[in-house]
Formats: sequence, C-alpha cells, structure tokens
Amino acid sequence: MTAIQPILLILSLFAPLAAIVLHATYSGDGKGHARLAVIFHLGYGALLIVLSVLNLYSGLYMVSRGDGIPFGFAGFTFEPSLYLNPGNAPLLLLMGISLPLTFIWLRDREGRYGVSYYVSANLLVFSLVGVFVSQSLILFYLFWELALVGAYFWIGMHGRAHSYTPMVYPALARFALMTLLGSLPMLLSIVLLSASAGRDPGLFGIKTVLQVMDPWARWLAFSGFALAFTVKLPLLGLHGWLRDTYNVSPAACRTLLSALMSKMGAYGLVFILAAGFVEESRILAPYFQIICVVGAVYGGLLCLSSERFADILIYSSLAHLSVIGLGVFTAVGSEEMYATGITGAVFLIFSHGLIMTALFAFDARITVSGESPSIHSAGGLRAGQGRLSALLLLSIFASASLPGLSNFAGEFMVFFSAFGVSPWLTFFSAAGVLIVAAALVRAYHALFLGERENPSPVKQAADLGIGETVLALGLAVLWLVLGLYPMLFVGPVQKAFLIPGLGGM
Amino acid sequence: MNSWALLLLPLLPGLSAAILAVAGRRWSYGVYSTFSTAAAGAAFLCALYLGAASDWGALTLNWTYGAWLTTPAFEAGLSLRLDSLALWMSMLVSGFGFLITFYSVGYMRLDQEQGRFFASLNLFVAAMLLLVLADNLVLIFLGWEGVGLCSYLLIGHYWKQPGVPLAAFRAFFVNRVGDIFFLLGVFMLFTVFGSVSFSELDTAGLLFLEGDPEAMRRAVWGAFLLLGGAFAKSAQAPLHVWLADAMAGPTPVSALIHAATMVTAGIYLVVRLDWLFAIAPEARFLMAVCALVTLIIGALMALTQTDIKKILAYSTLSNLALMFLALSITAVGPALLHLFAHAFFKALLFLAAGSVIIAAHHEQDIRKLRGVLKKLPITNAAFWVGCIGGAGLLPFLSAAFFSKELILESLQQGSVSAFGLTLGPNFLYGTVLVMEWVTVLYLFRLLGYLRADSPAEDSHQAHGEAIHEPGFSLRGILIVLSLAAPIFGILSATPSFGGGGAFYRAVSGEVVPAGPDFGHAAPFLAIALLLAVGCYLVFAKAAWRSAFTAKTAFLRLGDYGPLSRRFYFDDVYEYLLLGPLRILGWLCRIILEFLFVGWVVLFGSIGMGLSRQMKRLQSGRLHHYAMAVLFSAVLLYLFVER
Amino acid sequence: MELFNLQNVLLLSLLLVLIGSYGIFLRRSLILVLLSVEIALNGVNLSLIGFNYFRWSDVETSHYLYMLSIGVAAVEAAIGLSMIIVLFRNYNDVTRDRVANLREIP
Repeated sequence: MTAIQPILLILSLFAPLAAIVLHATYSGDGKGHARLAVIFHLGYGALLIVLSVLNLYSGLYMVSRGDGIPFGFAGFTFEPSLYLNPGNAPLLLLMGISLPLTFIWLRDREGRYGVSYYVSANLLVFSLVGVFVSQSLILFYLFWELALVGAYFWIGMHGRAHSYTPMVYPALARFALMTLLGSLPMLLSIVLLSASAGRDPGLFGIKTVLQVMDPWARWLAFSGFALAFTVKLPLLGLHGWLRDTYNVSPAACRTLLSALMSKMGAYGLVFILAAGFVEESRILAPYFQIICVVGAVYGGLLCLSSERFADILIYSSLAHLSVIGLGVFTAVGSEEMYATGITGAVFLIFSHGLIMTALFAFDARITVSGESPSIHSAGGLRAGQGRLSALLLLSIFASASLPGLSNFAGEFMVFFSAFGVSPWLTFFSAAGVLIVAAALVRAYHALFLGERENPSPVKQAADLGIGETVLALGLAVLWLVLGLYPMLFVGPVQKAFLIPGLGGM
Repeated sequence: MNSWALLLLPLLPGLSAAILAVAGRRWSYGVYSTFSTAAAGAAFLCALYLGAASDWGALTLNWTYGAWLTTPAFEAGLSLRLDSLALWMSMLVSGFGFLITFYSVGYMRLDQEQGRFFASLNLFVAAMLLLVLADNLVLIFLGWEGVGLCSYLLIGHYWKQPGVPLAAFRAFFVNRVGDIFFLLGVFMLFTVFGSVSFSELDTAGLLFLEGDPEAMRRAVWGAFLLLGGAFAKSAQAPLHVWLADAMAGPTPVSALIHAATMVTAGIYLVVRLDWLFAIAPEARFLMAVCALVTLIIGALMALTQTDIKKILAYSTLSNLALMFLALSITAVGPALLHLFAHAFFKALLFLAAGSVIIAAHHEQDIRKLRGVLKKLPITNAAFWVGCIGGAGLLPFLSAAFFSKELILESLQQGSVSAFGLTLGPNFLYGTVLVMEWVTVLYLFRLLGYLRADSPAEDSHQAHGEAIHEPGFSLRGILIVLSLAAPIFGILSATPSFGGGGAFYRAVSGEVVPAGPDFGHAAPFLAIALLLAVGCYLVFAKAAWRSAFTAKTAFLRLGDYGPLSRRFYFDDVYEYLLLGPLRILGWLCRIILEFLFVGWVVLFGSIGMGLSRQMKRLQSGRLHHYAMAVLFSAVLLYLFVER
Repeated sequence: MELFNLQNVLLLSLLLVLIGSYGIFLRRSLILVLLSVEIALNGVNLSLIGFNYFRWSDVETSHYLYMLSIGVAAVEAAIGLSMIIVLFRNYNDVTRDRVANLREIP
C-alpha cells in the first residue's frame, strides 16, 4: 500500500491540468461542460480520498526529494519535490470530499458558463493541491501565486455584483492586491532562506537554515511568511478583502474560497510558522493569540449585525479561522501542548472546510438567482425546501461544534491548548464562537421557520434532489463518525506532529 | 457480556433514532411509532437486565474501548460506568422514556411531522442514557449536548407557530452559554487533577482534601464553572429563562425532557462530583443563593400563570431549586430521592395536562378549561394523585412527601457559609417551608380551576364540542403512573413511618435517616392541608369565589409588577446583554469594518492618483521615447563611469 | 601614422550613431526614422568588429555577436516596415506626429 502512493500523488497533482485540457478542447455547450466537471471531479475526488486515506492509515512519511528534476544556476539548486504525510493528508482528504460536492451541488444547470469558468476553476484546484503537497519552497510559492491567478480569473470573468455588493472589480482588485501584499514579501523570505542555505531549503529544512542566519534575517523571513498567511487566512485586520470578494464570486468559487483557499493560510501557519519558525512564533505568540481571540469575538459581533445569510457565513468563517489560528499560536508556546493544539487546528481545518462547503453551497441553493436571501426578506422557507433546510440546520449545528458532530473534537483540543495559556483566551474565543452559532441559528429561524408568506418575497429554488441529498447524508455520516469517535482521525494526524522535523516540534 | 449490555443501553434508542430519521418517512404511523416505542422499551429492559446483573447497584459495571479523545496532553477514554446512581438514573430515563413514547403514540396521532418527533424522542433517550453512563466529563458532554439538541428540536416541533422558533432559540442559546462554563470547568478540573474520568477523579478528589491552596483555588473555580453548566441545564436562576418558554413543545416532551429527566442532568452532575462540592463551600454558597432565588421565583410565578403547562414548568423550576438547595448543604440522599419523586409526580401531572389539552383541542388557558376534569374521570384521578403527591400532603401516596420532609429536616440542621456570609438553618428552613405552602396553593389553584363548577363562557363546552377521554395509550399511561407513584411512595417510606427506605438506600448508598417525626411535622402539614382545601374551594366553587371576590390582588398578582415581567430577567438580558452586543455589532460593522476595508481602499486610491499623474509623462510621440532612452543611456554611462 | 586604428574605427562608429540619432530625433517620416535606426545600429556593429580586430583578434566571439545583431536588425527592419505599411493603410500618412496613439486618448 505504500508503493502506490507516490504514483497517486503525482497523478493527483497533475490531474487538474488534464481537466483544463479537457475543458479547453471540449466543444459542447455549457451544460456539457458542467457534466464534464461533475464527472471529472467525482473521479478526482475519489482519487484524492483514496490517496489521503491510504496515507493517513498507513502512516507513510513520503518526501520525493531528489527524484524531481533538479536544475540550477549560480550554485543554487532547485529540486521540485513533493511530500505527503498524515499531517497534510487531511487537506487532500478535505479537497477530495469538498470538490465533488461543490461541483455537484452548485453545478451550472442552465449552461451559463463556458470554457473559461472551468479552466480557471481547475487552475485554482491544481494550485491548491500543489500548495498542500509542495515540499520545496519555490514550488510552494509558484502554486501559491497560481492559486491567486485562478481565483482572480474565475471571479473576474464570472463574478456578479449584487444589491449588497454593488461592484465586482474594486472587490477583486482589493483581493488581488492584499494577497500580493502578503505573497510578494513571502517570495523575498523564500529568497532569503534559499540564499542562506545555498539551495531551496524545503518545508522541513527551514528550522535548520534558521540556525545559521542572523537574527534580523530570521525576523525578516518570518514576517514575510506571516504576512502571506495571515492575509490569506485572514486574521483580524487583514480581512478587508474577505466579504466583498466572497460576495461577488460565483457560488462555486465562493464555496471553494472558503472551504479550501482560506486553508492555504492555515496550512502555512501550521507547517511553516509553527513547525519552521519555532522561536519567532513563540516570541510573537501572545500578540497573535490576542488578535485571534479578538478576531473570534469580532467575527461573532459582525455575524450578529449582518442581514444576509452569506454575510453571516463569511464572518462566521472569520471567527472560526481565528480559532484555528488560536490553536496554532497557543500550541507553539509549550512542548507538551504542541501536538494537541496543532492537531486540533488541523482537525478544525478539515472539519471547517467540510462544513463551509455545505453551508455556502446550501446558501446558494436557497433562491433561484443564487443570491443570498436577507433574513428579513423571507420566512417559512422550510415548507418548500424540507431536505435543504434540515441539512442546513445540521451544518449549522456542526459549525456550532456540537459534540457528536465533527467540529467538536478540534475545537475542544484548540480550547484546551488555549486554556493552558490562559482561561480567558478560551472563554472569549468560545464566547465569540457562541455568538456566531447564535447568529446562524437565528438566521435559520428567520429564513426557514414560521409561516410562509404567500406569495413568498424571495423566489425560492427547488429542493435538493435525491442524489444530492444522498451525498449530503454521506457528509453528515462523516461528521457523525468524526464527532462520535474522533480518535479515528485524531490518532493518525497527531502522530505527524510528534515526529520532530516532519511537522513536529 | 454485561459490559456490552452497557453499551447497548444508549445504542438501542440511538440506532432506532437513526433508522427513523432516514426511513421513518416511508413507514406508516403505526409502524414507526411502534418501532420507536419498542426501542425505548428495549432500552428499559436492558436497564432492568443490567440492574439484575449488577445486583441493583451493589456492583459497578464498566465498559471501556480505548481512547476517545486522547493527545499527549489530554486523555479521555471511551468508557461507560454503571454504579448505583447511574443504574437508577438510567432506569428512570429509559422507563419514563418508554412510558412517554408510548403516551406520544396517542398524543401525536394527528400531528403533521410525527417521524421527526419520534426520532428526536429516541435520540433524546439515547443521549440522556449516555450522559448518565459516561465515565468521564468529556463523554458526558456528548450526552449533555445531545439532550440539549433534542430539547431544541422538540421545542421547535410546531415551527410554523409564532413564538415557537424564539422559544427553541432561547433553549439552545442559554444551554450553549452553560456549555462554555461546563467546558471551562472540565479544563480546570483536568489542570488540577490530571484526569477527567469519574473513577479516577473520585480517588484523586479524596486524596486532594489536603491539597495546596493554589490547587484548591483552581478546584473551587472548577466547581463554579461546572455549576454554570449545571444551572443552564437544570434551569436555575439566572439561567432559568428558557424553561418556561420551552413549554411551546408538545406536552409529552415537556413531561419527559423538561420535567422528569433532562433538567435533572445538572443535579446529576453535582451529585456525581459531590466530593468536589464538598470541598468547595463557595460553590455551594452560590448554589444555595441561586436555588433560593429560583425557588421563590418558580413558586410565585407558578401561582399567577394561566397557561396550564407554564404552571407546571415553574413548579419544575422550584422543585429543581429544592434539590439544589439540599445539595448545597450536602444532603445528597434527600436531593436524589426528591429527584425521583419529582419525576413521578411531575410526569404524571404533565401527562394528565396533555390529556386535558388533547381533550380540549389544544386549549391551554386554565380560565377556558374550567370544569373540564369533570368529564374526564381517569385524567381527573391522575390529577388528584399528582397534585396531592406533588404538594407532599399525604405520606405513601407519593415519595415527594418523604423527600420533602427529609430535605426540610436536613435544612434544619445544615447551613452553608462562604465569603464571610452564612445561610443559617432557620433562614433556609423557613423560606423553604413558606415556599412549600405556596406550592400547595398553586397546585390546588390549578386543580380548582380544572374542576370549577361554572364553565367559562367562551370555553369549548360552550361551543358544544365534545370533550371526552383521549385514546388508549394516554389513558393507559395515566393509570400506570397513578399506580406507580404510590408504590414508589411506599418503597421510599422512612423508618419513622414504618418503611425501610429501600429506595433511598439503593439510590444514594447512604444509611436511611430515621426521617421526620410525624408529631413534629403535623402542625405544618395541617396548615398545608388547610391551604389546599381553602385554595381548591376558592377556585372550584362559584360561591366561594364570589365570596373571596375575584378582584383581590392575590388573583390579579400576575398582571402587575415583577410577576408580569418574569422578575425582569428577560429585560435584564435584553437591555444589558443582548442589546449592547447588538449595538456593538453594528458599531463594528459601521466603524471598524470601514477602517479595515478603508486602509486597503486608501492605499489603492493613492496608487491610482499617482498613476494618474505618471500618465502625463506618456506623450505617445515616438521621438520622446527615443529621447528618454538616449538620456537614460547617458545617465547610466555617467553613473557607471563614476 | 596608420589611419586604421581602434580610435578611428570607434570615431567612425560614433559618427554613424550620431547620424542615426539625428535621423531618429529630427526626421518626420517613419521610413527615414527606420533607416536612421539601421544606421545607428550599424555604427554599434562596427565598433563590435573593431574591438574584436584590435583587441581579441585570436577569438571569433564578437563575430557571432555581430551576426546576431545583424540578424536582429534585419528582423527589426522587416517588422518596422510592415508596421509602417499598416500605419500607412490606416492613416494614409507615415509621419511620426500623426502616429501618437501610445498615450491615453483623453
């Protein structure tokens, strides 16, 4: 079971390129493209699931150093190498589940979108996989920027303005500029690290390189990475792009942005800041902790004052991602808490991605136009969308990290890790998450419960189909399994963070 | 084998809930209601089997399956434990679960969404059993939240009706607030004792009595925090605001969840960790204060309500407060006895009320239900048993008589002091005694209304709608419970009344106290009896009522002052907590968010402005560019030369 | 005194570059501008050959460079001429002031 994994890994990385070629050469109409995307992503999702599950439970630590194509100049060698271990396998598993669900739930029924939609979407997917499996930092950077390109074209060509976000391009420009604001310093940091090492140090070599670097160079390198990750996550203060970008995106793009792209930042926090820049993160941890806690509460308050369901989801995402950050930055403080906090963060990354997939997809399925309904505009929608409303409620409860559903174990570990630093961190972040949950439940009540006005002020879409419901039930079963027996997932993942040098401290 | 039966206990109703949730829609009402009842019944049989296997609590059974949530820094196993407390609690839960599911078959016959109802009911039984059986504080949290979820779902059962979603939301929100405290408490205990397992905590806790002051301080904090969780679940002030609204759910739900079982989870938790509270008098002091407040609020509110279910809900509040009060002076046995006694009479009262509600076509206002009991003989009998039992007027009719006497007796001796303050025995005893008289008043006021001899003008009888005893399952359960209450009462009789107190011993594992001396209790009982008869006559007999004049302040108390505003708790939360939060949210939205987005826009605008200026350099003429190239070349040359 | 030395070759190439520059900056017809560019380029090429002859006569590196440069010049001339033809078709005019669309049209 271990020999096949490198092949599957290479296949998983390049399959989205094949999808790009397929869509570019396909001559059918929009509906044909949509069908093609569904079929491709079902297969691709299965591939990713098989690979990541194999890796999680075989416990293989795989780094393809040296078997890439080395090329170099001026004494500098660049080896494009990939890696996979139970630390980053959850991210591939998340993609494997999230992608087919997104492309099925939000498939283009009217055939509105053409080649460019799917090419940019698959470009995003390609670069996301690349980011999660790149071992060499230059490759990591290339994929990181490529993700921005994919998302930029996806939103730019197919984004739509709404009454609540009137313009596409300013939002898009803000998104691109802020992301670049983070990623260009990251390039400098990578150059700095590489120059110090004489070669690309790779993800797991950062710690070694830092030992031979001057303090100022270390801090410079740290700040470049930190900026890139905190913008992408985003942490409080750097989230100016978040709401408008999500709102103007096509529904599928919004779903992937929230479920997967924000996880790029979280991934960086876990695998580069926490595991690489150990000293620097430890010194700055208190400030980051405070930002994360304030971010959780702030996200909650914004949820409370939002009227659009999508807005509430976006700000809930801000709060939950802050909790992930809290997990990372409380874990770096102490040796014995490290594996707990980091595993909690990875668990949350995985679980939050799944939940956001469901929430954003269901939100876009409420109305015919895909526009998110205002909580004052409608009521009693449950009468027309029984299945959707039940599944949405379940997703909301999962997002509220009810024990027995998937978020709980992750949040528990993160809060425990935070409690070790200070009980107040746990208290305030839990309060923030509670406000988020309350806002979501309140929005659900306003939209779905009560008596339906006739005629309904929003044009309600049809309920989920049988096949879609079955998929959603499958997801719900996964949540239940993760919630009722979290050790199934926590066990393999935390092993990755106990091995020094491979994600561990 | 026995240990696997332990796992089966929560698993049976849990699986049934899963099956019903997925397949229930396709089955006919008869099939799935029977299925659901059978699952609850199987759980009860399983509990009985376990009772026999464990020699009725004498042996402790364990089931363990490795780690549930274990990291290098934290450990929680997937393990269940059945000791005497867990055994009797699980018998209570599964027994009432079975009876009330059976009752619901009749009650929900004409409802629109029975499938969801029965699935949730089964899920509730499963979660509650897990809560009772869990061997550690993390696993207990799973059940703890599970019952909260089911409570939310079932309160929101009539989701189309106005006000129902809000009631469900309140229950959800208040319980989540409590959960934060619970979680913090669990963490706190872990940092002090290094374990969350009850079996390990029990031994660690006993050793801890000699601990250092810092650990002691943290342990007390842990007790405070856990108490927050317990208060939310068991509806004690200031977290009691959800329980009265929870009556928006169907009546069987109110009986099972909001009277007999779920709301006792907080009591259960405190009893489970009684050693912790024994060493934390500060927490017990807080418990006593909150319980006193709740006791008074519950009793007074019950006295003035007009909704039949809300009377019972506030009565539940005050009874739970009574249990907490007993726990605050470490009288664990009487508290537990009252927990069981309360479950019997309150479930009976709720189910009888449900029978009235069904018979009167979902009318719940007691002013419109005057005299309805005269046409419902079985419900009538059940009401009498429930009211007399609940008021604790007669020994042997209900265990509540003995449990209340025991609590009063221990209050006479116990006191709790902390923070330099002491709640003395006289104060506690006096307050509780007065509130018990109020209990008698509100129960017999209810009974009086329902048996009044002049039907209200706008009632259903006036419209000529037929009122008759509802179906077999409702009647059957009422008869069973009316008979079970006296049996349970006889089993709980204290030695001073000639009983052996068998149940007391079984539940608490303590030696049965001699119990109240009848001669000593008699005067107070006589006053209670007098109040009961008087109150009943005033409300039931038209002549008495006119003599008493219906316009006295006593009858209109609910329309004025604190009683009309539920003692201002809702207002405090609305204006001091939620309102400011909402305003803060808007401020964040308008000001801070503007800044966070604004700085990007600002930089963007600066860039755009610069670009507009730079654009002027572009003349578009070829020779200008060529000239620029030349000058740059010359400049470069000069630069390099130097 | 030998006239054929490095200094004179460089002077000649400078002269060619100056002549070319004069044409580039002051002639109005784009065809003449293109011709001037070629003259200036040839001045540079001449200096390349001159350097090679007088300094490194034993290696041929500069010849390669020179040939590359000539090739590029040819390509440039071809593209330039075709562009001029396109411009003439569109504007009926090949003076440089007519073709000033590189800036933002207000």
